[in-house]
Formats: sequence, structure tokens, C-alpha cells
Amino acid sequence: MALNSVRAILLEPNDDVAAVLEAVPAGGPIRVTHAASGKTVLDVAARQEIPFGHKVAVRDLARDNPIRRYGWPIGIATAEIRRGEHVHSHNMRSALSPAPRQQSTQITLRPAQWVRDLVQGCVEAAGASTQRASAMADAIAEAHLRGVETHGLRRLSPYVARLRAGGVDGNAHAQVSAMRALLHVDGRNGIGHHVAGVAARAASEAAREFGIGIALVRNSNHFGFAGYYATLIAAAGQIGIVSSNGQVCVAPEGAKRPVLSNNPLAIAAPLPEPDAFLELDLATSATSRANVVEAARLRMPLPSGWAQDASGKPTGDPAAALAGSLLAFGGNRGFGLLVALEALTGVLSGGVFADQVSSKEAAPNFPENTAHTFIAIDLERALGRDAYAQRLDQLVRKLKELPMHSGTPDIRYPGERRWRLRRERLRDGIPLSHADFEAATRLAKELGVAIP
Amino acid sequence: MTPVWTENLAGYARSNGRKGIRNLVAVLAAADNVNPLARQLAARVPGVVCLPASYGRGQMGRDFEVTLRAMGGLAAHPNVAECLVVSFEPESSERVAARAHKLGRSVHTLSFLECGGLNECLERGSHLLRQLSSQACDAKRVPLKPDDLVVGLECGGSDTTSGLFGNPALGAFTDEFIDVGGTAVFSEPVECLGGEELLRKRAASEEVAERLIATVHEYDDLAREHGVDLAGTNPTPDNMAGGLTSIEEKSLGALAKTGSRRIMGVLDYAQPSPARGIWMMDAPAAAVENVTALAAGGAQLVCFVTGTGNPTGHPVSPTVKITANPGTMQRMAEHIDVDLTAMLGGSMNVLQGAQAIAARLAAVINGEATAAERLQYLETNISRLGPSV
Repeated sequence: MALNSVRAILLEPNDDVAAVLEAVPAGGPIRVTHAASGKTVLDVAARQEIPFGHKVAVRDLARDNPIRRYGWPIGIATAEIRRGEHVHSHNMRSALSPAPRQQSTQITLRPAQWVRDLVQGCVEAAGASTQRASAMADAIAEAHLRGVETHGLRRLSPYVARLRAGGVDGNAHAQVSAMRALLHVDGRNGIGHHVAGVAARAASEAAREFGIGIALVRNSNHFGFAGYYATLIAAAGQIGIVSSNGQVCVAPEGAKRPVLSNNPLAIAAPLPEPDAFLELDLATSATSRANVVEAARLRMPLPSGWAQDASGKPTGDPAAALAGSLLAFGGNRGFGLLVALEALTGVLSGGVFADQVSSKEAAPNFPENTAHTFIAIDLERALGRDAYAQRLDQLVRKLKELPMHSGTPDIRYPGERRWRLRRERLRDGIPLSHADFEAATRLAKELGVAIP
Repeated sequence: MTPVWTENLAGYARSNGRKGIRNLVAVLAAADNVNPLARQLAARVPGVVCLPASYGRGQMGRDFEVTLRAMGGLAAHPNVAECLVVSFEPESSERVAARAHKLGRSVHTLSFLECGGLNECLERGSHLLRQLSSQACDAKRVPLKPDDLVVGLECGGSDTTSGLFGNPALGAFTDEFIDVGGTAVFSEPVECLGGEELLRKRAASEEVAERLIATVHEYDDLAREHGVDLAGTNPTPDNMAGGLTSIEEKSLGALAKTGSRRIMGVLDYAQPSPARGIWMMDAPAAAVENVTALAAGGAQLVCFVTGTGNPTGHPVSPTVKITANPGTMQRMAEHIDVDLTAMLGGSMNVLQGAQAIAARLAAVINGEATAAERLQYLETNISRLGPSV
């Protein structure tokens, strides 16, 4: 037996597993030797095929017990393991990785005012003026109220880093120059939320006067979620249409590098109830980069159509996707929409477009030069605000009253979930994930900001 | 009992009481704006080592402090007999000279503002470097004991053979080296995530345990802030295919190179170790940066275990490459100093592996060139820890 045996190395005498130095077929003999002395400790038969370098159990191991290697626990048995069995992810797990995941499901409830005050304090501490900090605080609190956590507190730390590194000017004065209904806004590298707020209000005022107002913004920064500005305009009895460019991440099929951002398109309009809006807000990539990072963490393959690698080939591997590009949603149609949106934002504003927009992560001290477009259509001029809201409500009811196949969820109109969440969260408080809560309070402490 | 390899070691005595294993003359740029001067000076005088800067201007806070400390550490390194620090304005090179002075070494400085243009700088600088080269020849060769040595421990391009053979063999060597009075420094705290229990048990005190674990977790937090979950993405799919199941297992494999002795404490980036024994340095894991941090902290040489191969060596601290991977030994033999592939076949055990490392180190200490020195595959780069303005 010993002659044909595959050798396996036991690193420490009390280890539960040894590593085989050649692939062993099921039933194949294994001779376990101790690393330091070279002495044979045990002869055992492999219960399954075991690949080169993988672990074999040198004794029976009970479920939920620690498994030792290098003299220390390397994880926990998730099943009964018998001597000679292959030990790997099918019957062992890390004792660590579940812990942070459990933490991440812990929820802390805070009122919207808490989020607003914390952001206000941190952004002012990073050197921004009260008014500009307040624009960001409102937008971030709204993101949490509407369940758009991707544009909530998790963005605060990078925003603050850019302010402190001088990549964003916390006191810049956005400059608006009007030619009747058409406005040019130079953000002068100010806080994106502030610049966008100025531009959205200017477009809205122009629409009040002329029936339509269009603000073309250049030299701005990341402004949060586009739906927020579209509904700012809609709340004034208008239709709001918003787009923006941003950090480059999307490529057409087959391209070896990304060339555009996932430019969002937001369209908002008022409904008869005062706290409900139609709010379409979609990014034009098939998925967000955050989802790909999450898939990499969970080692989950990506669905097809999400991403391609750095050689321009479709990939399901999240790591390859992160080094490559995201794809537009809906194939070539989505990509076409994205190109058209860039033609209406970066190109039309006279500012920077496509892959000339700076990366938020790579260059915190460098202006992003983001461009946005805001369009406001005044409903009083069009067909009367109330008449429009009633007609839009009829459209919604047509959707809701459709006969449905049993077991399918109710039809939702765009924005329905966001504004339902907003009503609930104004009443009950905002549920903050452990990660968001920890990161935000840690940042506040670092900046010496009193936590509200 | 002193092991055989420590007999007949010799080094160069320095004015601050430390001993070098090389007798280098170096020209160090205090900022990136004088790299061309440093390079041209090094090219003019045979044997002079060039230490260019990546930044050096507009840096702030801990980032600037670490840059100065590392530059001072390299200028005052025991392997460096004489160092010329160059800069544009005299203040910059004097700042580095002051750091070297704090470490008990005096260095020479030269700046554009004192000299004039490039040609005058080259004229005066190369004249000075020629003088320094001949002065360096006067350095006294003295016997060297393990307690004169600080050895850096590093692994990179790790694979199954690193965790099974390379790192345990280096760990066995490290234990023996610490027991005879040596000092060792390991780093790459990010690669200790999941090894907290081992760090806690090996820490010299409760306080040291807290520092070690806090340092490891800082890197985890930093990664999280940038959207990377280390515990969630490790082991990588490659690691999994190689048989690693958990991040604990991966980290224990990396920590195996540090042996089993008590860990004395945590050193900041490029900080010299204040006492003997084994220390952890707080520095990023990428090979060039990490070896630079270990060298700037005063390590006279670095032991570097690799699985799939890594050519990097530091120009000031000879970097000894160790592998047990037969494929790497075939493909990249010219880059490898210690061949442990016999461990895979079973004809060499861990202790014999440690002896092979020790024998090679003794030769390198006494002047034999490492693979990286022979190939001149040498690079230095101080980590960037923050933005500049």
C-alpha cells in the first residue's frame, strides 16, 4: 500500500486535516506524514477524489466543531466529517465570514432629521458653507426616506474625502446665465447637490414664466439620485426631466474599455395626492457597479448581459467585470438611449463628456466636471395642473385595474414604492444598515462632529 | 547553542553601532522633482545606488511623516556606507538629513538652490560621490552576530506550496533566529485577517494583542470603505481551486512564515524595531512598497517566500527569494535564491528547509549577490497614505 500511497502533509501534530501532495482518486491510499519530523502518522483511504493541495480529514470530526490546521482553527465543520473525507467548502465554513454578514443585517432606526443633521455637520466640518452642506443633507436624507440607500450615507465618506482633498469646492457659487427659457449653469466645481438644486429651481422658475425651462449644467459634481431633482420640479406643479453624466463605467458590446457613465433618466410628475408623485428614475447600465462588487463578495456568478471583461468578451465573473465594463440595460436599445442622454447632457452643456469625466475614486483631489440637464414643463401652461394630475391618476388606475394572472404581484407605477416608503419612514423613522450607521458615525467622530 | 550558519558572519561597522551587510554609496532624491539629477549622478559614478522619490512635495499629515521617516531610514540604513541626499531647495534634503541624524548617521546634502543648474549639480555631486566611494572602502569589516541583524519576512505570489512548505520552512528558520537573539519584522497586516486568535495568543502582552488586532482591522475597514469585503472575497476563486476553504486558513498560511515566538509589538511604517524579537509592521502588502517599508525600518535583508514567482528586490536590503514550487523553479530559476522543491517530493522536511534558507542567508550576508541583485531587478517605492495638495 505504502508504495502507491499519495503523501499528505500534517503541519502540526494536533491538526485535524492534512494536505495531499497529488490528486487522489476515490479509495486511493494516502500516507499522512508530519511536516517537521517527516514521520508517518497515519495511512488512510480517500473516501472521495481529492485534488492536489486539498485537505483530507485525519480523524472523525463532529458537525459544528472547529477544524484545526497550522495548529489553529481554520473554520467550522458544517457536516459530520469522517476520517479520509475531502474537507472543503461543502463541509466546512469560515468562522468569520458569517459574523460581518449578520452585523450587516442589523438595523438602527433614526429620524430623517438625524441623517440630515449628521450630513450637515460632517460636510460643514469638511469646509463647506452651511447652505451648500444643507443641499447635500436634504438629498441624502431623501435618498434614505425613499429607499434609495445606494445614494445615501454610504456616499458621505467619499464626498467628504473629495471636499477635504480639494476635489470639490464647498463654497463655490454656481453661476446661472439665462437666455429666456434656456439657462446655462456653470457649477464652478461646487457640491453637485447644491449646483443641481440651483439649476432645478432656475429651470422651474423659467418654466413658470415661459411654459418651459431648460438648465444645462457643466463643471458640477456627483449630485446624488436624479429622481430627487425631478420631483423638486414636479412639486412646483411641473413635469421634471433630469439627466446627468458621471464616472465612466459602461461600454458598448465588444468594446475593451468603458466610454460612458450609466447616465440616469428621471421623469417626475405630480399626482392628485400631495405626497405622491410619478417618479421614474433609471440608470442606463444593466446593473450598478455596487451589485457587481456584492456578487464578487458572495462569489456569485453574474447573470448574462450585465458585464464584459477587459478584452470586450461577455463575462459572468464579477472580478473580470470589475476590471472590464458594465453593459447598458436592454442591449443596443439601452446603449442607444445612453448615447442620446449624453448628447443631451455632457455634449449639449459645453462641458466635459463621455470618458473625460473624472473617476470619483481614483482622483479625490481632481474636479469631476460632471454635466447635468434639467427640463421643467409648466403644467398650468400646458393643460392646467389639476387637470393633468387627474388624467395621470386615470392612467395609473388603468394599470391598477388590469385583470391579472393569479399569483403575480400588483402593478406598480414608477415612484409608487419610493413615496410609500417615504410616508412610512417619515412616520416610523429610517432603518439604517449597520454598515451605513457605523461608517457615518465614525466619520462624524473623526471630524469632531457631535452625533445628533 | 548557536547554530552553524551564524558562525563566521561579517559585516560593516557604522557610526551608530549598527552593522551593515552591504557597503553601498547611495544618492537619494528628497522629492520627485530631483529624480533626474539623482539618476544622472548615479549613472556618473560606478556602483552608486539611486533611490528616487515618488512624491515628496505637497504631502500632509501621516503621509508626509511616513515619507520623511522612510527617506531618513533609507539614508541612515546600515547597508549604506555613505548617502548623498539631493533636493531642489536645501530645506528638503536637510529635513531628510535631520531624520538620518536622529538615527545616528550623518549624510551629505546637495541642492539646486545652493549649486546652480544641473551641470553644476552634476559636477559637484559626482565629485562628492567619488570621494564618498573611496571613503566607504575604509568601512571596518567586523564579525556579525544574530543580534546585529534585522530580517524582514514577506510572502507574495502565494500558492499551495507557500502555505505547505515555503512559509512553514521560513517560520522554522525564524524561530531559530529569534532564539539566538535576532530580530525579525513581518508586515502585510491585511493578510492576517482571520488569524486574530493566533495573534492574540502570540502577543507579548494584552496591550500588544489589542494593537495587533486593531491594525489588522484598520485594513479591513479601509477595504470596506472602498467597497471591498476582504472576508467575503477571500479566499479567492484561485485559492479555493488550490484547496483553501476559509480566510482563516489563508491567513494562517501567510503567518506561518513568522514562526511561533512571542510578537513584541506593532511598528509604524518604516519605524525601526526598538528591541529584539519579532515585530509586525503596519504597511500595505504590495511587494515593492512592503519591502521598501521593511528596508526603511532598518532590515538588512528580506526573506521573501513566493509560490508563483516574484522578481522584486530592494536596492538597499538584499531580498532572498524562496520557493517550493517546481514550476516556478523551472520557469523563473534565475530569480530564485532558495530552492525548496525537494520538500514536495518528501526528501526535505521543514527543518531541512529552514537549514537551506539559513545557509543561503549566511552566504548573502557575507556578500554573495542575491538573484535580484544579480539581475539588478531592484525597486524602491514609499507607500502613499494620503492625497497631496
